[in-house]
Amino acid sequence: MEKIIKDLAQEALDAALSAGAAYADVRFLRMKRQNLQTEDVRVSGISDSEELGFGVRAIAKGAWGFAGSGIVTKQEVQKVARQAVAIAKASATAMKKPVSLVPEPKRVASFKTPYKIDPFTVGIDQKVGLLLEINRELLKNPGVKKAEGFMIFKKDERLFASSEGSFLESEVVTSAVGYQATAVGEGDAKVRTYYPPPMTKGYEHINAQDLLANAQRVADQAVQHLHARECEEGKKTLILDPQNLALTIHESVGHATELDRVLGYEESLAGRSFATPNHLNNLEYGSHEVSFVADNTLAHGLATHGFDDDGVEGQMWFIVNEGLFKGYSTSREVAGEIGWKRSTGGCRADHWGSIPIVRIPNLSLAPGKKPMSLDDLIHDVKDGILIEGRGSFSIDQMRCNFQFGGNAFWEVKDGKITQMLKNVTYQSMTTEFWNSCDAVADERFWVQDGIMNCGKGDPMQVSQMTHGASPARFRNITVRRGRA
Amino acid sequence: MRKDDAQAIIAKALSLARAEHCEVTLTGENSASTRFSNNAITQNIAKTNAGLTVLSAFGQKKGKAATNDFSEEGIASCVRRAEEIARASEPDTEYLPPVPQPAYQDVKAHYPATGAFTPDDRAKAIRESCGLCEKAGLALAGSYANDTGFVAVGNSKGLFAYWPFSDARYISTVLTGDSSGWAESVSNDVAQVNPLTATGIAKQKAEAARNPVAVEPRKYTVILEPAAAAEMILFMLFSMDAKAAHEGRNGFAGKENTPIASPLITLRNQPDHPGCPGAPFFSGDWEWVLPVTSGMQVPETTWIEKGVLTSLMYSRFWAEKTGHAYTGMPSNLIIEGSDASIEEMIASVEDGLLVTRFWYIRYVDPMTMLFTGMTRDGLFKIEKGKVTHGVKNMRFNESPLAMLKNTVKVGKAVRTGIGLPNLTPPLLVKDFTFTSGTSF
Repeated sequence: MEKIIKDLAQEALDAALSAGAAYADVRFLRMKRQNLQTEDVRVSGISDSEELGFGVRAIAKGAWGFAGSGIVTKQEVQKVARQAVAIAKASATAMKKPVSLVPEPKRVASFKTPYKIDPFTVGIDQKVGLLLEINRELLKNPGVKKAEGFMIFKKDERLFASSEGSFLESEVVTSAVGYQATAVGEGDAKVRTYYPPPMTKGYEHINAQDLLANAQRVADQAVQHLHARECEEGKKTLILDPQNLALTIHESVGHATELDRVLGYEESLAGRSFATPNHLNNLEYGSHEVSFVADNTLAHGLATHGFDDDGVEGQMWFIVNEGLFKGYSTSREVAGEIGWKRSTGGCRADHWGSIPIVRIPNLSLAPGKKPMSLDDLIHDVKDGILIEGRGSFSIDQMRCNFQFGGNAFWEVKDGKITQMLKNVTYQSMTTEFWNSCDAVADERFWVQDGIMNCGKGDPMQVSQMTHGASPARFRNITVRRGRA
Repeated sequence: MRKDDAQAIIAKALSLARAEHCEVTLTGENSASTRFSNNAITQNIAKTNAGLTVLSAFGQKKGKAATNDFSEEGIASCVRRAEEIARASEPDTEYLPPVPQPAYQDVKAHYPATGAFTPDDRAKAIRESCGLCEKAGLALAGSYANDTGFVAVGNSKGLFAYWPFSDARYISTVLTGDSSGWAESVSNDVAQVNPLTATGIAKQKAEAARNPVAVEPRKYTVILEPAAAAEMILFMLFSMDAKAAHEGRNGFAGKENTPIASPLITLRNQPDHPGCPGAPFFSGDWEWVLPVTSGMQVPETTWIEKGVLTSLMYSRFWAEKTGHAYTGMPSNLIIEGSDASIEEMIASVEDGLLVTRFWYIRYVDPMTMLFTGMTRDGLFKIEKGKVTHGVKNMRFNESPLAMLKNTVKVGKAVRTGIGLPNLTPPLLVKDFTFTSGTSF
């Protein structure tokens, strides 16, 4: 960022410390966004935004205060820093114990997403042209009545400075593209999607996708889905593809192991978690086949930002290792609450005006260690369903009872895919579900998918993170018909 | 930002516009909130921001750009960017040009006291509520928020409008070791928000729900308290797009002007409703269901009248295409209630469940409008007209249309903080389908 911003960062820290802060940090963020949407052969939405602002966090009298502003002047920076300290002092009047941050070495560093083509330099005509061409291809199938496409681009330039002496800069670029076809019949409509995994990459990520090459298949499967057989209810073996697993991992493992939630900080909105610290190193979260790796250093991961908004560098660690519950995503504040010496670096804000909170890291199901393909997984199934993509999703506020759908469902009988099904949902309890996993395909089949719209906090913040997986198999899962 | 300042920024942007059509939206906020859990404040924040959005169009080629830089160069750059995007894009065949100045309802939603409410004011209220729970050995969590803001719009046809508003909301969850209770207090005027009363209700619910019992998941007669009813109905609102219905893509296909709910159900919007005001006009950053034209008035519409689906949501384009009256989206929702108290409703139930609120509602099937979700923070058994004990939470799979059809009684409508500003009554509903239980 410009020198003037760096000077203002120092002004903010000085003003907060002068006002009585024991600790302060300031985060300047310039956010660029571009969203394009197409519907059939029209451009239904196209927008571009840029904003700059800053947020100051301060600990005074042992409590937190935060203030942010989009007015970037010296006077405003000083005023907002003093406001953060005043808010902290108000917080201290309803405090049980003072905030304590676990140590993190001070550092001066920078991080930049490795990318080749800045998506904001690529012409609108090129992007719109591609999306409309895809829609035209989808609409060639007479059964497809609606074609929709989108692109999302983000660029966040961030400067973080703390009273401990850290001074960190980052530039994170995210690119996403996708489309869907809707087939409409008598009293029914079915959507088939093609959502390549979003990544922290430039426009080269869009160029690398087989977008047009998949359009005919997607259109055909939308129509096939409409005419598919209703699923039979009962206990079945499920094979979940990486894109379906991404959401299941997100809801039943990612949110369940955010330490702020576990400690009750999220109770009033998103709830708590069953995965309390007394379960660490003794709860069989899943079967021996199941390991969840958190990795905020993952190349092109959506939560790969170099360091978090506590100034903690990206790390890799186990949330679950060979079935055993091992870890959490933390901030410097909550890590100390359970006696940990260092934060795992999961404290992030979605905006300059948002206070950083504990977020899900890049969190992935590790690939199976034995050679195992998708065909091998299917081969050993007598009565099951292969589920691809995402559909309905819901989980209780302790992260136990969940119900998910999917985007395409394939009946598996006696080791073979026989036909498409429709209206499939699966319901389970988190640890029962992951303990029912008896096989995970190997690393050849691992896909680095992710979530772009993870909501958490009050006020609500929307964050992004990667969830990679290989296809995995689950035995004896309750399947229900998802139709009223 | 004052009206004069907003008008000057909008005029500046319009003066720089070279496109055939231009719409400008300016919004601003001063928001503050305090969050607490385990009887202590855990988060305390304030934010000041404003944003300018410019929509430019050459014929039907449109482009939108936004900024929070209000310098001459910042505004000019935003206008230029919108025009560059429009020129480079392809047509939006549903785009319609800006409208001249319409007349708006006079909607009072701004209360200076809400803006003047300080972190110390919030902390004082939170200390009182925490004290109430701590004394009883219970844990309190929640948030207390007070926001003020404005939205202003202008366009190349000379339209200008400005609407200030404020909001205050206190929510509380009280926890015992094995149960929880929830309540809220919501108003545009912070003076009307009563944290201690809400905490008292949440506390009473939590204590009454102790030692919850698992019951069989099946169809039950339920009383949905206002928050639970609002969550189902407001989620349904996202599917009321007439175009999608006419194209056979949502659950309202073929249902216009037919009975879809109990005759007890009437849903309407009225921006100038004194107890539940909504925005009097649309603005360019507000397109969560339909495309809107900045500055067009939000008309009063009755969506469901005595059980009959009288209107879906018509965008300007779709209204012109079909010859239907333009409705846009509602900016508030008034669900008609009755004078019946919730106690009277409970007394009329032989065997059923009382639901405080729902959590994580999502579509399972948009075409039959099947939703799933969980109960939360106060699920109770009703036996022979009395609440008898707490029940472990359950997952439902149910359609809001079936819920509205099976409604046999409505109670007194109250303001809830769920989604749009709304007045929602408790509903007594037969045959509400629960499909599985959970561990707490």
